[in-house]
Amino acid sequence: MNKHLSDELIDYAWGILTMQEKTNADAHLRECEACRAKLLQHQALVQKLAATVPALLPDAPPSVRGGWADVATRIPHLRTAPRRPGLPGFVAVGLAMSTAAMLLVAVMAKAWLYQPPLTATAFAASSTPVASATYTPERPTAVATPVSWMYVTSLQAPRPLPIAITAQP
Amino acid sequence: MDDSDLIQRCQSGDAHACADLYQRWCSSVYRLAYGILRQEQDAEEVTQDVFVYAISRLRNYDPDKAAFRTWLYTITISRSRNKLRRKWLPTVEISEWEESEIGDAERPPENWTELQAERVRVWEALGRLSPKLREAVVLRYFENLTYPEIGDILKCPIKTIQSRVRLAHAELKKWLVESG
Repeated sequence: MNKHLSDELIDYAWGILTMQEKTNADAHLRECEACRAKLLQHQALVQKLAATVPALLPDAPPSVRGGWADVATRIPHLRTAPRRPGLPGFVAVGLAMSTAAMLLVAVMAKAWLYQPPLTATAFAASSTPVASATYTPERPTAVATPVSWMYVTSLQAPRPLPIAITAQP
Repeated sequence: MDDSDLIQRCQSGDAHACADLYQRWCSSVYRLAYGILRQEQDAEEVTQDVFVYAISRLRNYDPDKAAFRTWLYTITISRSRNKLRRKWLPTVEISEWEESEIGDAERPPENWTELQAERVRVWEALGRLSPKLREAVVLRYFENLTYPEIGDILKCPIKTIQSRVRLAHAELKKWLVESG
């Protein structure tokens, strides 16, 4: 028979032993009544603790269970209104930048394609009718080019003053 | 809703989710703190401190590194130790403890006296342990935590935890035998 077990019996009772250590201890315990008796004592204490300790720890009293309001007032980011779950920062920045870029492209495209209508009333006061007075600008459905836009603007200006200037005697 | 969903909502600043998280865990934190501090008022203060700290820093919590329970109990142990350092804890009078209502409701009346006396002996014996040994015993049995879990909570190697359990067992056995 091997020498008697000592700390191994405590470890055995607490379930600390490794598989190999437990196998060796079991082999000894099968042959040693004294160690079996000691093991039973250790196991009795462990069982007593297992049964008693949870009962010694009471559930939280109502003052704790209802204490969230006190806790919340001590947490800085909960003092303000709760925020809705948001996107991660990098996603939000990316979305904002892409939206801004799309808006910029849309504004530029509109400026590129848009040709202001030239109506007859715009030139009604003109003393010298020009070709543009009867010019009907192309709508954006037509392909507009910078050349046509420059052409229109060159027809629009300079315009003569709408009043007749006469020499005073 | 499981803990991970609740924690994600808390991390995004949802106050209602934080309240739910508190309700879900406050009793466990209180029981652990009470097991170490052995005073209701101190355990209550520590419970509040634990949640103020935990929810304020929840955005730093990484579920890949530790289970939420482990993280929360680590904070509880740390706060309880701080509390123990700050004040000298008076021992609980047996008469005062006997008048308390700990866990009596589910016990049959005929066993009350014997059971209560046994609990008083265990409670006193636990109180005589050093805080580190008491932490190991309380963590082992208040929620049947495993040794690796206890090691994670106490930030100790498993061998250290096992050594503390062994020492605690020897001392408890001696005192409980002495007290009858």
